[in-house]
Amino acid sequence: MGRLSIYLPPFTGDYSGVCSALFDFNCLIVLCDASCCTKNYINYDEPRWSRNKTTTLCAQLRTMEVALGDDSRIINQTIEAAQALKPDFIALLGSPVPAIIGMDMKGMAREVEERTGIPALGFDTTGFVNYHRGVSSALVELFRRFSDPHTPKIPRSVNLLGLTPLDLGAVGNADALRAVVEDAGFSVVCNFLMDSDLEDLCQSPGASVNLVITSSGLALAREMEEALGIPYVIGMPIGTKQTQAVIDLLEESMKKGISQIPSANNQEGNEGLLILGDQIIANSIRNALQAMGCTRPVVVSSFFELEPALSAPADIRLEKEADLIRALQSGSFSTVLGDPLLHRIPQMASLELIPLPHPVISGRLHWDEVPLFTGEDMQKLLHRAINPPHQGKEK
Amino acid sequence: MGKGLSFFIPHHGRPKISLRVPESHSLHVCPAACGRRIGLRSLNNGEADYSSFLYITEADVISGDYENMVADTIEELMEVLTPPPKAFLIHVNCIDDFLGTDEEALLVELRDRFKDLHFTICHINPIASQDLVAPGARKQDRLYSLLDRSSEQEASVNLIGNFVSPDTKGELFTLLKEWGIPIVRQIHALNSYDEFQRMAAARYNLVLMSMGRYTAQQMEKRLDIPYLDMPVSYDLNEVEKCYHALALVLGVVPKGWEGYRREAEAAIASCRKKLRNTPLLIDSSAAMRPFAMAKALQGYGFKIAAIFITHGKDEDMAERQWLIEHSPETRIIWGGRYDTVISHDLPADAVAIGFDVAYTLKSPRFVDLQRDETLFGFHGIRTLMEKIAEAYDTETRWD
Repeated sequence: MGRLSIYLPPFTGDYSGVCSALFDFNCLIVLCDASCCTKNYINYDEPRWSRNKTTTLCAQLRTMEVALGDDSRIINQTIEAAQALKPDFIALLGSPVPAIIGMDMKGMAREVEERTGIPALGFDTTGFVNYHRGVSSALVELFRRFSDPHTPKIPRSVNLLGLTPLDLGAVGNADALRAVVEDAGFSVVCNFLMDSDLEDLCQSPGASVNLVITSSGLALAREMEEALGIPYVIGMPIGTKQTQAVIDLLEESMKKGISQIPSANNQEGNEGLLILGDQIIANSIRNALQAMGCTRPVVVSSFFELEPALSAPADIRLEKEADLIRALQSGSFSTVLGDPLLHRIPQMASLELIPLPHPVISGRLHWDEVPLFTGEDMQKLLHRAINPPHQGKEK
Repeated sequence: MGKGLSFFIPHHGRPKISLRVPESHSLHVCPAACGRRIGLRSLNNGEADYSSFLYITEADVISGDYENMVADTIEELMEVLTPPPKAFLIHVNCIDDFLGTDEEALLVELRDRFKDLHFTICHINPIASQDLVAPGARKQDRLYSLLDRSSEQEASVNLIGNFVSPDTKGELFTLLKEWGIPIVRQIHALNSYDEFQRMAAARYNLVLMSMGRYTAQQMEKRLDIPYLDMPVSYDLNEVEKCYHALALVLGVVPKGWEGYRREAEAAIASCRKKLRNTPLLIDSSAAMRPFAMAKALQGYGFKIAAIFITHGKDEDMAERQWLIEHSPETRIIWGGRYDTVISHDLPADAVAIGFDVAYTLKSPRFVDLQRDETLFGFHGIRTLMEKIAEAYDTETRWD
């Protein structure tokens, strides 16, 4: 059967990914939808909302103007709103209806920019694809538009790529990751994209090396390597040994000027651990476990991007819920580490679930329970995952 | 509200109830992102077992294959859902307005292939909000379209349109019982599909929310059930007129509510005394007819500083006009507009009725009322007064 989902909710869409990436900026966002898409983002995909935030607006598309292909109202009202709100830049986003009728978001953005003199970006988001595409495209577009390639190099400096509350929640992971890198003697130029401003973004080409924290940062890392020769390291600092390994790779990458990608390995055996989530975070958890002496098979799976170059042979790209059910029924796993909502799948009943909330799945239901990846709670989670359930756990 | 760029006030954690037919299952056929809030809301409401999602891709849109996938999906769901549903509601979204899905052919195919099951197609399409019949009203009608005509009539009425039952301690239920109507059915309070079918045997449909009026009109045509508009009102005389009309259509002597009215009058007097000149703010998330609420409260002597509209309906246009003419000091603020949200100037000590205005102002005096829920009749007025008095005495903290 096709893309039927019975137990898990629909995941965060690409337009929420873009909105989330732009949240910290003084940016006027106009989402070209009827209302539901904007509500999806505001009510279900943005944990940082504040009462003062009034710059994510819904275009309130209506049937007739869509049928007539008339985008002039949205363009005119965006210009009016920009004059009132005075943003640093403007973003126009698509949704399913603009996608199927071929509304030209980039063209509309060009017209808005010409008429206001304010930089405007168009995103052909569709709602048919997941958040990762949205975050990823926002990072790349912002870099292309606002970074200064002539920024002088800053010694021992790092950009953190792929920071998004959609993977990390809004519980302090951005600050904690920055602290880990700074404690190792690096300075952070830009967090792409939590707690950063346009000035940080402008200076980002000055970094010595990029650290890719989640899959959403990978496209930008590759672009910066190609355009500016900045090497990158892939890995989320998790657990003492894995964190040190990431720091060592940063040192090596900076020294040699070559990107460093940790190898991904599955071990054979029974009572496997299946990790479900963002590929880079899941890989990092696997590496942390293996560095701690974990000998059980650890397989990474994801409903989102699963780069072959970053995958171990047994890793599983999930196209649909049925693929996950098949994996759970395979007999290969006794433990699953992933979002708490996985407990709804009947095939989970005989397996151990170690909950690691993923906001793109459970949204606001569990986003406050996301752990600090560099902290004690994550360490406890690793100790729980290291052995199969009946063999007891490390303290 | 005029069409324009809109600002949405986040409703993190606020309950929102969706109506469903008991023992039915909703299959949402849509792009993945469209179903997100529906999926998370149903989890929040403990109703996730009654919803599934069939994601369509851009390729499906081009090929039209999604129509062919629905029947196979129903078959798969029937193999795994326990207990098996008796009806399926196929939900389609905004994009369907541009795809030209052949709904009739799809329903014929489904009914032919699954002879013991019942089907209907619902549209969740806010893009069609300017249609004569609002999408929400049309969706309610689709639910009740599953009712089969009944050959008998029983001593019952249906409450239509409301998402939450009026407080059962209110006089509505007592009066109906005294007037020979012991059974009151509401779709959200029913447990079985058979019980849902009994709604077709009702003597009357009482429309408590305007969103149910189109449904009631259609039920009158399809099932011969007449209806009576009984919108929630905070005006004592309107409530009395409403009960009078109900008694007449039921063929009973129109009396019996006098004591309830006196209780409501006493509650109004007590609340007025407590608040003295403290102003009120009223928003459209609290009441389906916020201008009518404002006019009624103004009539009792309350000072209405502003009416905050985020969900504009035309139900109480007359009261709006009355307020413009007779209460020029009462401001009307279109809360869905970014420009009014960023530049308001409202009294900080006001009692804010409704989440949207209270959230926007970080109002310490917050009456947590959503869409009139649980309030009806004299008992509803009394309860509103108690809520206002409580909010006046209690400080709400906004983190």
